[in-house]
Amino acid sequence: MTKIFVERVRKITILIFLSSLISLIFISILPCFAIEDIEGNIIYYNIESIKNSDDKEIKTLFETLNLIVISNWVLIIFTLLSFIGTILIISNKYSNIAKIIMLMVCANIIFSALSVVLSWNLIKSTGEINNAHFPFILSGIAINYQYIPFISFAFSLFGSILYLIIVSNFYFKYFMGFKKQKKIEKKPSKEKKAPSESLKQEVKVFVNKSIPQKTTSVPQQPSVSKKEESFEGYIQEDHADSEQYPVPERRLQTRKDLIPDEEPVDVKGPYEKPFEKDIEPDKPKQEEYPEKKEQEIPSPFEKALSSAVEKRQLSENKVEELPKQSPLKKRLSIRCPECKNIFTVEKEEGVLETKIECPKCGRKGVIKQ
Amino acid sequence: MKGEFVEENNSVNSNKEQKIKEQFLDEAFKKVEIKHGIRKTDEKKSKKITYEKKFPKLCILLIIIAIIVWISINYVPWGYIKYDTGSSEMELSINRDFILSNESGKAIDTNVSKNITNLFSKPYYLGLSTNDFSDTPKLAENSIIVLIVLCILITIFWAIDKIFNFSAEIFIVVHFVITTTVIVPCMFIILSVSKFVGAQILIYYNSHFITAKILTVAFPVAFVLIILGFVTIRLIFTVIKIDFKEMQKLLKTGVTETMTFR
Repeated sequence: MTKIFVERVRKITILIFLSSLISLIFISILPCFAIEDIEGNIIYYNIESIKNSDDKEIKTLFETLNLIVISNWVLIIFTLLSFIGTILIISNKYSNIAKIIMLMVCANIIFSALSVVLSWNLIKSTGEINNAHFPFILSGIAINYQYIPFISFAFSLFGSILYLIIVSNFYFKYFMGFKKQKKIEKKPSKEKKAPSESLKQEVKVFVNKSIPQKTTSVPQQPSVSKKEESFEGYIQEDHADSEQYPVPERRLQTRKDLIPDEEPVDVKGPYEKPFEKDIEPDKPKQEEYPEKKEQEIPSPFEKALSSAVEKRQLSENKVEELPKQSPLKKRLSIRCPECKNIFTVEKEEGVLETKIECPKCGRKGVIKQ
Repeated sequence: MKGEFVEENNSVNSNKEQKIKEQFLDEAFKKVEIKHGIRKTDEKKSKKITYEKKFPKLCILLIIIAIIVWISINYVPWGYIKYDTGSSEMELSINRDFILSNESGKAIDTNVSKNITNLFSKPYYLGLSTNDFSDTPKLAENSIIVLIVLCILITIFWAIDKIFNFSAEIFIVVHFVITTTVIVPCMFIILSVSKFVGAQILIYYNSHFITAKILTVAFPVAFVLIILGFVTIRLIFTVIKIDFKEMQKLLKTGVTETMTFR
């Protein structure tokens, strides 16, 4: 955006500079008017030759020409300033000075318009002077010399208009964008201030509850409070995952496996086993969850971060556990069909049948692959 | 196997979590860099040649221009006139301060010198007076002084930069500003000399009013200086363009830098 703007401004500035330089040269070189003497001969005059004239009308002509020269010099200085402004814009330094310069240079439209008007007046007033003639290039061809600088003034006016449009449009968009940004910045800062602190606390609690897991070989009936915590944690975590990130497969399996409670023998992976406690949550505890969820709504980023942290910790646990477990052995939690006792058994992979015995009631059985 | 949650120390937990969070965020940023190609820009950045602050060639350019202008002012004739004495043709050259000299080395007839002086005594017909022959070289000399001052300024800035080591942006901006200022004395030279060209056009139109038998009139210095002025302006525009490009290169790298750290 800025690059295109600068490139356009540079080209337009060159156009204005060249047109004003050429017009200045034309004014000082070309004859500005001609007078017919008594004998019928025509004398041509340029700006230098009428400088010291005593005639009032010719003096006014000279003043007009002088004004044109001054306005053109101002235009040239403005174009040089515009160059400096553009380089300051590119440099990204002193951007405020650059803005001031660029907006100030927009005033070149006044001077270019002034030079056009004055040039037109010069053409008009030349015809009103007694015995005055237009300075034609050749006597036979009706091309007035005065039109040549006038055309270059018109070019500089065209360039100035373009410059004004481009610069004003750019800065208008810039200021509008700046205002919008300010509005956007204000809104979230107000919104964020209140919930961010509570969320931090919430995330801490949430992470503390859900992450630290340690496995025990044959756990006894867990206490109710621990069940609650674990259950809440996992539900929250799954909820967080569902918004932005896909839920890991293993966790999904645990959620699905919560349903077949009544099966006598459950064969699960090592990481699903801790959740097996959560298989039998009390119903009222489940009902408590939505209320808590309403109270503590973590932001998506915090959710994602916490879930990522949890995943990391799980993976770390995995790394810790892996050396403990032999790669060929598989731990299985088994429920005794008679006394409903749940106990763990190590089953070697590849073995078709493993004989087991319930540690509580002594019932014997076989696990088939 | 059954698991159960065991409550740990909160402080230890929070430290661990904090570390893991930081690790995760770092990895996430790396992933984002890979996805959005910021890594590539980093590679580019490492490959990119840093801006070398060389001695500004503009100084050499300005000195050359100043020397050429000075030589042309002092050694090239300001005016060249072919005069018909009636019996023969005489080639006359006018130096600065309106000193007439004969090309062939012959003595100049007083009538001829009078006629020529009369021609330029009143600026009604030509728009050129004898004073212009002495004033314009002075103006051109002043312009040369300005050019040399600008050259010295650039050199001093370059020397200061060696000590204080300014940023590349500041170096380019200062160089650019001085370069742009060079246009002003060049324009002064062109416009001060352009009246000589104007006089030549008026001689063509108002020849029937000139009593002296002048065959040809030319102002060589004016043409030399106008051409030189335009060439200088063109070269300065080239330098400006180069500065623009250098700055745009710096801008590009600046954007990547800010993007990396956003």
